[in-house]
Amino acid sequence: MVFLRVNNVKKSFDGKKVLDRVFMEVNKGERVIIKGPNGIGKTTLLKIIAGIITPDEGSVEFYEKPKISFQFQNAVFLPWLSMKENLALFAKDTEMLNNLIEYFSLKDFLHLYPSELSGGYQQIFSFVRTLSVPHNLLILDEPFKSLDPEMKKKEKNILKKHLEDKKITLLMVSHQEGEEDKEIADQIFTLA
Amino acid sequence: MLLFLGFLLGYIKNKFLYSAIRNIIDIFQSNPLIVWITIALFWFGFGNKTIVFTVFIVLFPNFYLITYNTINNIPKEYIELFKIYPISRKKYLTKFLIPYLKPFLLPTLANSIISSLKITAMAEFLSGESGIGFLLSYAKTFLNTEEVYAYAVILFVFSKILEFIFIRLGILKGDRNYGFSES
Repeated sequence: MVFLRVNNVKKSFDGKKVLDRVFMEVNKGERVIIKGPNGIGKTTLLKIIAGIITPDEGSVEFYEKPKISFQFQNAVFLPWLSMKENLALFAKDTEMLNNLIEYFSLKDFLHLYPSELSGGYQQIFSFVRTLSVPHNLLILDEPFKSLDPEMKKKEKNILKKHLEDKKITLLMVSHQEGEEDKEIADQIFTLA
Repeated sequence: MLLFLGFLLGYIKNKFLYSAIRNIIDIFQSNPLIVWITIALFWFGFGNKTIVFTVFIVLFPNFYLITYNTINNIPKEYIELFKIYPISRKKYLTKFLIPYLKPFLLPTLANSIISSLKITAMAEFLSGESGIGFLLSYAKTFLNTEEVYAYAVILFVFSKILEFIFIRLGILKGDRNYGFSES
């Protein structure tokens, strides 16, 4: 069953063509990894699908009302709030939130401010926030960036479990090697 | 009140309203203050209303323009964040907008308070019935030089005390530490 369809999407920034005639079809519960060289428009495509950016031409059609949760490439938090307050502000699923805090052993970091965290921990908190918002479409933009191998493994495991348990559709930009992608992906979409 | 009005109007993203207020601000700022005090004297007569009007003319543009420009230049990543993770208007205001605006508005507020001390004294000098400006005017009329110097010193000291307080509170950045060691 088709969940979303990207039809002939085109997007330019300041006259520079970023996306040109992109077509894509994703089934419900499917896990799609988007690959391609830097600057090819992977993030732009994700943002168009999420409705953050409007395409110059073409459209994105959903065949079921989407509830989107999006992990940005660079973790965005409000710098004047502690991590606990940041999570509380956006997270709706408190049970999931608490489980993830426990799973990633983040309790000792909750009182810290975003600027006091390493890039890797900011990324983990961003992932936790993304999963703690109700969704049927999960969009992750390089979620494993800046993570050490142990954290990467933990994040990958919980992601796989989450997707399997709840039959969530996944769109993810990744720069991992092919074998690693196959652990998660049903379909690999390459932008060229 | 001034802060609230400037903030409220600056919060409204409306090109027509902005254009209208910008034109009014241009009119406010294009004339020397003395012109506005004279006009205010015709409108309101001698007294507090003229002083309040003069302070308003000088300070309102700062609050309005800073609020409007800051709100209209919120970084893209925050706008995208709230698009994906919407929160209630109340939370947006209290958890995001006010803390975000604070570092821009507080120095404006502090500078405005310091400026208003000088503007008030000037308005009182020309139109007041009381206050240090009025006393200065009175001393000038009777060529009481010592009193003129004394009021000038009082105004200077008040202004510096306020500046010192705002620097100690971290609202203003001072280029001197007033005898306190840097921490």
